[in-house]
Amino acid sequence: MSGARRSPITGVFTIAGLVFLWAPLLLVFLFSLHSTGSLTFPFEGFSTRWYDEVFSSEEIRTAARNSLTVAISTAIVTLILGTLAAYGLTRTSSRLRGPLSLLFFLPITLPGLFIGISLLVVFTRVEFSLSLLTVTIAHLVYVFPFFFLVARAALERLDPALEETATDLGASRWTVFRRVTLPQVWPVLVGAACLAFALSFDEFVITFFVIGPDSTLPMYIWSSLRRTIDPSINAISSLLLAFTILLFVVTFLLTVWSERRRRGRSLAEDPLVLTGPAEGAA
Amino acid sequence: MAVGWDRWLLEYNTRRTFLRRAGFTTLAVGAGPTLLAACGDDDDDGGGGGTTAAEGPAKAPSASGRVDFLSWEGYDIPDPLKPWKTENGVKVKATYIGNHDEIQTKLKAGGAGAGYDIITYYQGYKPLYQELDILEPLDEQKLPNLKNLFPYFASKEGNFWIDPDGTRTGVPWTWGSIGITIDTRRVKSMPTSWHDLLEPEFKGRVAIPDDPVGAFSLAAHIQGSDPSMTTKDDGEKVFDFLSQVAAQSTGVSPSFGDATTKMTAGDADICYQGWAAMNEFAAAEGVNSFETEVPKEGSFSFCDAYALPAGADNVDTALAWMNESMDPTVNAEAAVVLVGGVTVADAVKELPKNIASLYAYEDLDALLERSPFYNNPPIESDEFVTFEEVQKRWQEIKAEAGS
Amino acid sequence: MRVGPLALTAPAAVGLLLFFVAPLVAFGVYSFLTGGLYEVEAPLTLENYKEVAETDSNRTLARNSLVVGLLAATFSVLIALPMAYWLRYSAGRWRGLVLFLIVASFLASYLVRIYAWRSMLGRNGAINRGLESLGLIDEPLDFLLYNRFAVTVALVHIFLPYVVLVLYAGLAPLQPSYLETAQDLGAGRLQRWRRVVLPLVAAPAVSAFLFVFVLSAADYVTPQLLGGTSGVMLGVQIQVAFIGTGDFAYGAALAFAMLAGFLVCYALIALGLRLTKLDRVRFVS
Repeated sequence: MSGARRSPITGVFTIAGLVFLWAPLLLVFLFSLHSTGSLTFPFEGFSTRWYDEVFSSEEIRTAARNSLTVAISTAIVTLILGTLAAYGLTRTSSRLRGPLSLLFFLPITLPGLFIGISLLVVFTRVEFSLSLLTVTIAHLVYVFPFFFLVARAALERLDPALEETATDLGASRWTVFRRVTLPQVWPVLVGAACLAFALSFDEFVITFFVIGPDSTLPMYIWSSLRRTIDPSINAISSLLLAFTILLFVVTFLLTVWSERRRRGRSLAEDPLVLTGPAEGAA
Repeated sequence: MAVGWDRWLLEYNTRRTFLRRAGFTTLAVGAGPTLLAACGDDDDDGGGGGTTAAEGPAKAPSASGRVDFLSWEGYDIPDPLKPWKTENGVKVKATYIGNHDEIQTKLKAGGAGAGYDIITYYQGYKPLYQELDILEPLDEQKLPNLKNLFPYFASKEGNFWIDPDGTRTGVPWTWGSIGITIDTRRVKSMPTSWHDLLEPEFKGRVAIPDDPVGAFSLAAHIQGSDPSMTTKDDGEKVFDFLSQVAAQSTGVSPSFGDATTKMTAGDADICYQGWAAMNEFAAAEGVNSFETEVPKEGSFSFCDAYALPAGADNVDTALAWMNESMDPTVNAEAAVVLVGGVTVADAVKELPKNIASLYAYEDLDALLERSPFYNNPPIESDEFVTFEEVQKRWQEIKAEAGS
Repeated sequence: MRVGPLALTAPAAVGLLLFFVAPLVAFGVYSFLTGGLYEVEAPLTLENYKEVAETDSNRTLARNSLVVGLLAATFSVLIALPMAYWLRYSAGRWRGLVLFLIVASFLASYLVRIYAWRSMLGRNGAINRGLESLGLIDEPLDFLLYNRFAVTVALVHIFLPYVVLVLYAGLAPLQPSYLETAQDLGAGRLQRWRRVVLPLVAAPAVSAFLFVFVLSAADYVTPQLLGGTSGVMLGVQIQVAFIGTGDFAYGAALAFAMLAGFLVCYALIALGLRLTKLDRVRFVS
């Protein structure tokens, strides 16, 4: 890359963009350590009391546990159904490919408001009580397209020759999948499942409509935002951010390690590798 | 204080000025004879003259397990109930609302399996809740503490807590009057009139909670009409006033807590439809400069009652909770926490001075005449502004406030 | 061999039909029913749509939503483009770190991010305090919060990382050497942008633009927390119709009217892309 590419304008935009993105987040972190209950300046002093409150709160623990349950369930079910769907779709030449692709992609095009309310309408009509189960179902609908797009892109990129050879050599379809396809794509799938997890964990817009008496962490934060706000919210979100980042770093390292092991290639050459699981979201 | 109380109780029981108070609705007029009977019943305050067959002394059921609570933050009175909860091994799972209408929505949407065991309702909402079929009758045999209530709260006044046929649907346990809340750090003197909110100095500095019925009731009162009987023409004046107040605001806040935070953060100075509890909310954030007062035009009073929603499964514990809330000590502590009024006679002497002085218990008549308990706008009516109209116009007012 | 793989898509397809398509249809049907109190009744009617069209405030809200959506989408793309370009061509060894920072900010909680802007834009917020301490202003700026500006800023903040990543991926096929060649052949910077970079990035940029536009215009949380009186938006009305007024039929009609609006926008933009032939730009390597 030559020096002619190094345009100062784009560099300035990038720095400004990063500052814009991180300033509010750092502010959240700063106030999570505030010694008083105020969320505006002047800043009185430092204290970890809000973190203490968060860790000792039964309510927060329960909400976090519920969020985890829903997110893990969502990720696992999405992983299974999504992989099957993506594999099926990329390996078939049926005319239904187009319509099915559209179906799998459709939920992304609609704001969460629609998904949430339409499910609320149906659950109410059939008198299916609202609970964490309804939340999980709603999350599955919301998250599925994200996973599907990534999985499909990954499966499409594979060299079909490998699978054909294996089949020709007599391997059953299941064996082909298990021993040829899967070893090549599992890191991407796991990454996409983590994306599904993260999306579900932080989901609020749809959850708002289909949740029953139980609470998830975003619902807890929302109800806190409507009562008297205090920095324990900041503490929760700082912890959440740290946790989610950690999750992604681990996933990313896992992906990179397995890619490198397989291909023995230098990472710096392939810009797409560095975008990690997010690449499929394009 | 004790001397003042006995005297007041005596006068309260013998006065026939009940009917004058609170701009009562037609329902109250219909309940007139029974009201007088209730007044006359000095010894039997526990049933409002109705269905309590004396099958033996009333006894609170045993409490245990988990109670699913749905209502405003703070209304689950966690601290005042703590001894009772610990003693009975009761755990509370609370869902807080920011807006009264969320209660009926969650109950209707969740269906029979919504699973809430205890809710509250603002007195005016009773007819609507009965229409929606979401209230269960309360077994007074399991509520021995009903005898502790002031006669007013034990009566069939305005059909708020007891039906004309004697069925009880609510246990009133807290009340208060709406007022103007200010942050004295920036507002040096308390405005004396609601119309002061429209002054230029408050442009863009008014906080308003998102409570269509409350906002309307208050505005109707200020304009001189009863919100449950406001003619369509008068209604236009009321909505007009509301639009002006909304135009003065920084936007309608999704909740009282949010309105409080806007003020503590310095983005608003004064609250329309303020609540003394906001003083406490602010104090919890470290800001001790809030004050709430009722201006000269008066306002409306709210009384919240615990109720049993349809589909409740832990009924006994819910009833035990309601019973406990009428215990003088608990009732008093609740009033302290919520900066509100007590519904239990003996609770007054347990109140600290600053809470007891909030409401002139010695002249409740006058207070309730200035700030009455109103009913909600009717569900259907050709003559008066309806509940649905209030909801819709409120949304429009919010939408147009910035233009 | 043909039917086999297709069967694998069945569970997901059935699931989506059951829990996505069917509910949407039911929701759509609601808009033609008569709204009762927190329920709907049988008589089919067009009343709801009539009411949607006749309520004046809906026009205000629709306009607000449209404006906010367009502004949020425009600014997201305008800011993201130089960032993506820098990442692709000028980042060097900083690329990993910057990408990490961008993705990490994407992971922050949606609600808290919205709320964080109150601490930034309020009277006693970071910006006002900062400007005051630098001596640049005497009185705090009141126009930063509780209006359309605040809502737009928060929405851009939420969607920017996503748009950067999309555009970055879009630029991936364009090797730096191609741009160098263009420069060597005499193309000025502007020309390189207009004739090489922009056509390639147009399709992903437009899809990102649409994504941000639709989700921003339909947002119902940000306006409630940051919108004040001028930033009220349509999504809130729909939410309120279901959890508030109780007129489900009207809410459904409003929602589908909004959806129709989005579809019109999609169609217009697709048409625009086709007319400028930008939808057929492919990178042939």
